[in-house]
Amino acid sequence: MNVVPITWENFDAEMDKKVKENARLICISGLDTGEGTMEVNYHFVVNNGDLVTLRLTRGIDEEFKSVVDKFPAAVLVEKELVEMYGINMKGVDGHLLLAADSNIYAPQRRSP
Amino acid sequence: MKVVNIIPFGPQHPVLPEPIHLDMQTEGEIVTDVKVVVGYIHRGIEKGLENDYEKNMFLAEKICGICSGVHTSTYSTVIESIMGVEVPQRAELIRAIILELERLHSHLLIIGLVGDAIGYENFFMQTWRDREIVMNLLGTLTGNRVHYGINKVGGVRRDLTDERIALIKKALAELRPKVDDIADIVYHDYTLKKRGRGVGVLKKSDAIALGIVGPNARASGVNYDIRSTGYGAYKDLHFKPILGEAGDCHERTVVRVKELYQSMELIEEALSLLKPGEIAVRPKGFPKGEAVARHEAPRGELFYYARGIGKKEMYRVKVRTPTYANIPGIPPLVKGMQIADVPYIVVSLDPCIACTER
Repeated sequence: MNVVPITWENFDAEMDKKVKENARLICISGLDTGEGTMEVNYHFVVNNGDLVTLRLTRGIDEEFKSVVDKFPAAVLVEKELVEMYGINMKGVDGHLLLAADSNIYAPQRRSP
Repeated sequence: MKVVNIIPFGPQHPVLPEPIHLDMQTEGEIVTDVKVVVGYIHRGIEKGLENDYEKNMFLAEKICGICSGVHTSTYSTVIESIMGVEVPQRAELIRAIILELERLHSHLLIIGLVGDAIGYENFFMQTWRDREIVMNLLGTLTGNRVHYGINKVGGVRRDLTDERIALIKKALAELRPKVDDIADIVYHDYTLKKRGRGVGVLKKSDAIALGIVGPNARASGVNYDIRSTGYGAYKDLHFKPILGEAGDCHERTVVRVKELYQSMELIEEALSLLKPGEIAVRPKGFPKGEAVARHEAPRGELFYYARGIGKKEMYRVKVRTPTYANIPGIPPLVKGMQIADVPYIVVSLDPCIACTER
């Protein structure tokens, strides 16, 4: 698995690079390390068929960015990330799978 | 004065086997905007997959009641990749045979539902009757018609004996003329063509931008079929994706019909390559590390990401199903169409909501 760590500072530049490469966003997966940090993995297939994962690791209560303007395919999975981990992603409402009146909060979160 | 109405479609609707809801904003009979709502059958399966990596196979299989086999094969592949397990060739071929049988019954199901959606009831019944040949065969080969329980980490649970191989050949010989009949109707029937041509057109550029997968993308000319990457036994099988051009409701059905023939040919080729040998190897230790796997489900690319930390229980398993990728394609197809076209457009995308919500 080809994982490329990215930072908050170069996040936009890395995503713009993927847009220029005509990369296809397959999925975004979240992973709570359980120690207050969150990994957000952006899984891409690039034109020659290779799979690349860009990994942003950040404090779970820090802000995350939406990529839906660059990759419309992210529209559902970003909502799910916010809903399942209770992260703060600007402009994403975080309502997809759980009932609107549910008292379940961020069921896949491990960090306190 | 312009009057705008909100018309609900679903979650319960005669053409929907599973619940999905669309809030359609309309002006007269024309849909001007739509909001898609899911979440009626979410089961928390990804959370449940933080469990014993071998027992997870049974839970992954329950994600879908149609394409259960591809979920277990993709889950197996991602775990085998983490554990460095090399699956025997015979097992890979058996997996491919089961997956192509699954594609056959899944495509026959949705081709029939397309008939149902436009009121072509006898076509619906004919297609589902013919589908029973495949369902019964899967029941004989694996012991189950729906959740086959065929895959395990390291290979498959059941071998294909000579007797079972003969049954597959007999079933395909029985099915082929019936598929000829279905193809003849789909290609030439005036009603089907008139109802589906030019309706719900997905442009190639939109399909690429929205990340649409499977026959829906291929019907718009997008050359994207994970079998082309040569995973598992597909590296030894002759395979070329079937592409359409028009991208409308009818074209999506035409592509699926052509894929029926392709699946039968792939099964025959896989049977010809079967050689005596092991059907499974026993993995050692527990999964430690991470991997991704992609397989071509009947509805398109199925993606798994998994991480193990050297324990029996998996730390994380992420599942991105084909319909999850296809749902963003609904609004652009529905906007500007008549209300009466919406059920047909939605069904033509072959949505699987149980998969989507997990």
